[in-house]
Amino acid sequence: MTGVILLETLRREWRQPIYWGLGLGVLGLMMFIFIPDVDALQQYADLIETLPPALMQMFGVEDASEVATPAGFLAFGYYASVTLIVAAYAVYTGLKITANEEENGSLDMIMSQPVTRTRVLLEKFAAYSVICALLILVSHLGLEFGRITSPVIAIDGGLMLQTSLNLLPAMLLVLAVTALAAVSLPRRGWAAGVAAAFVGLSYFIDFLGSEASETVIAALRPVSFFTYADSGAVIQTGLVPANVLLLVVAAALIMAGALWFFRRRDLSL
Amino acid sequence: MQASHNNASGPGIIQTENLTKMYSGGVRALDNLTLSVEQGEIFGYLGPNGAGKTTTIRLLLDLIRPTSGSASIWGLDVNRNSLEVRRRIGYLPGELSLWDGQTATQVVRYLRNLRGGVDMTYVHSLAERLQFDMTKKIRSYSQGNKRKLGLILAMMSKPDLLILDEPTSGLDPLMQQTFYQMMREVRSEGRTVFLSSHILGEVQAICDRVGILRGGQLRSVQRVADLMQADFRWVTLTFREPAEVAWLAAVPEVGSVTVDGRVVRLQLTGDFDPLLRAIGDHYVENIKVQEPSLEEIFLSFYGDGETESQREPATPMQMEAR
Repeated sequence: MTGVILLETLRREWRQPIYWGLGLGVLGLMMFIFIPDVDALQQYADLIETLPPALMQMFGVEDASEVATPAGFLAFGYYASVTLIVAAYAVYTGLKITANEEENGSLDMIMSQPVTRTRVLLEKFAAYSVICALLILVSHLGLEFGRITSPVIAIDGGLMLQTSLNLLPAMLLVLAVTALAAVSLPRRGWAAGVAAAFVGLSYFIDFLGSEASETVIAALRPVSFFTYADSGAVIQTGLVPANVLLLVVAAALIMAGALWFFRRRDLSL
Repeated sequence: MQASHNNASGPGIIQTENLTKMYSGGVRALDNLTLSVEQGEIFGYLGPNGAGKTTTIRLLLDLIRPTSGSASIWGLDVNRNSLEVRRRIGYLPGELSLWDGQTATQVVRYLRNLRGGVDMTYVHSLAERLQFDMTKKIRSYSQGNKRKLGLILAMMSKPDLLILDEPTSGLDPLMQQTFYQMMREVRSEGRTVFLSSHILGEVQAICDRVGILRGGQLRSVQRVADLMQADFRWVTLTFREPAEVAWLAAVPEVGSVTVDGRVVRLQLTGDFDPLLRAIGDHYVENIKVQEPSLEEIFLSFYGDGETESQREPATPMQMEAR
């Protein structure tokens, strides 16, 4: 019966993204608590401006005045770090698509049932995509609660929601990369390493590339998914459909590759 | 010895043709396996660890793909028609890994939903026969209870073919008897059982035919009833004085006599009485009797002169078979 694996995965896993989401939501709420007023933001921006440019760049700030606005502060103080956190979560979750069950042997029990490998991979990917979305929505509740209850900070709720949702395509891409690594490499540890390296390299290419604009690394920025998950821009102007589409299409293509490998390979014992 | 002796009376429901599996590093796990298993029989697939039993089973289930050769079940290629084949198979892996945080009931429901057409009344009747409590979490079950759950999962859809990898491992003797009875019932319904084992008693108890595998090669396939006729024991006699054993040659059903000082080792086929009468005039300090390993039985059946235990100490598999 189609959807059984998806529903079973959701039944088992629904708690975890809620806990992670609550953790990130509390972090977001604290951002509002720690932004007492616009004057304080300006002082904060002044402080940031004293940092060396490279350090500012590392925190994703190109202009200190960006953080003087509530939206800029949120992008700098919350979304920049949360993008990295949810990418790490996507690696952790992506290993659950096949790698964990293959390593402990329970995948054999599933694959001995009348189900195709295509169905197993796609339903699991779909389930963990829903789980990633759930994490984002729960974490957004903390931000929204802070926005509503903050007496002085005015920030566009729609843009903030778009910025939270903008995390999802990047998570899907990392999920797909992890799934591909898991089905094409013989060990779960190797897959975890490759996926983590993908996230880490993407982050540093984006960070170093934006810092050193005339270098080879800057030319490599288009291959970093962080370039297309730019929370700072989204919170100012809203989702960039081309970026979202690019990340989603890339995730779909990588999943197609994962499927190709998974259908042809031996399941390890 | 021939590479295989299928001894099957008709076209098998499981057919393999020169099935070969090589793993990375050039390890040949299975070497040109040609095997036929008939409808409605219990087929024992025997061999020491690493012989290729689990590899064969995983190939039949399309969990791994052959390097060369082919396998079919009910005439359907196990790779091209994998879904249709697995719909009619119940499988118990040698090392059953399930989801520790789930209860047995949840696991049964999950796999039932995947498979479809499972009658929960039948599942509960299986659990009752195996005295298995389905309400606990997987992590709390003993090895034996996990095995019971594995049997329930394999049998719950009443599959036409049961593929069981070391099914009684961890089951207590009482439950083993229950299992044997269940397998006989499966056979009486015209369904087929393919089970791997290295336990001679199990094979003798329920199997119609057995195939022995070693080093990835099928050494022999034979009916159990025929095999047992070739049964023998190793007898080691320790005399007080260095032995003169020419007289042993005249004792019926004694063969393969070797002498090492006061110790005489011989192969006895049949009753003990003629031997005991023959040694009556000699002072015997000790008599040791050893059951032969399955492999020795097979080798003796096919007239292989020197058997394994004459050359080297018993392997773990041989010890277990004893």
